[in-house]
Amino acid sequence: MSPLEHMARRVANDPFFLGAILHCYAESEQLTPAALANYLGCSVETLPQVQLCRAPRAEAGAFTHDIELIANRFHLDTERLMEVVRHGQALQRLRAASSAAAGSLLAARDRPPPPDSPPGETP
Amino acid sequence: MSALPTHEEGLALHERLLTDDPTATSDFIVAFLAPLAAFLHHQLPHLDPHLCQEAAEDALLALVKKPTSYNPLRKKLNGYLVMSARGDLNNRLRREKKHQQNRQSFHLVEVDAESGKSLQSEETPILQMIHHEEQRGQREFLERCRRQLSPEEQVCLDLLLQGKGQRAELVAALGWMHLSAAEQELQVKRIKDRVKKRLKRAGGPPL
Repeated sequence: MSPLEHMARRVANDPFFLGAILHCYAESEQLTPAALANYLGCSVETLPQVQLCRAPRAEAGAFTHDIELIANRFHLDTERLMEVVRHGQALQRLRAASSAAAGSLLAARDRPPPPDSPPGETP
Repeated sequence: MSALPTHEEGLALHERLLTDDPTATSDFIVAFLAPLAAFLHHQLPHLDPHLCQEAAEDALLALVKKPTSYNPLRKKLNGYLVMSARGDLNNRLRREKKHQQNRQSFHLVEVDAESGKSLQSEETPILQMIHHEEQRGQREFLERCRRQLSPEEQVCLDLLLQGKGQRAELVAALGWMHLSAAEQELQVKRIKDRVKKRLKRAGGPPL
């Protein structure tokens, strides 16, 4: 594994990097790195460089600008990249929401019942 | 070994990190990662190359996420990154040492309880590497201090390091036999104090 591949793997769950969004997408679509690179229109050797880009900014204008910059720099299919990133970001939001919900559920379960509740009844 | 970017190339890459360009992080990492890891491994050949790679990654991650942490007016970029990576490497080694020592003491207790045999602490390869690195760090530190000392103070430092800091030994080594006993005592105290103070100021351990 090249040093760049190693580092790209290391940041695969770091939301600062585009790699985290691509990782979410590839996982949901069960794509290997080669298949993901092929889908985006680059070689598998170029993929780590794409993964090590900063994640696109969320604001509408900035998002399109960032996607175009990344696509032009690595000769990717802009439409595909936009689709993949939107899909990946939606998955990230879903995961964040479900882990937050799981956290609240656990916290609610841990909370002691109010003093006037009958035994065994939880709020 | 691939070369680190020149100062000008590095500054141009760093300036891009301060803009909104999302490809700047990738270009910065591509330019620095392999040469920085190789440079660290060249400086510390006894260390596992993976540790050097991860330390280089740590330094680059910190900078691309917070590019304002580097001030071009204060230090050259290559020097800053090497210093940052060495710091990360030392932290990793310290953590690893603690982990290994915990594991080792647990293992020794287990062996002792089961067999009752005498316990001989054997260093694992990683502990050997850590000790090697610590010794190397101490040697480098002493060498830096030594360069700031006068020839007489260097002799004094050598004797102190060998545990030969008695007055008679210092007097003989420094050729002060012609001085009176009181003067010898005064001069020995002064030179020992100067050397100790310089080491302490440089951040060294007390002698």
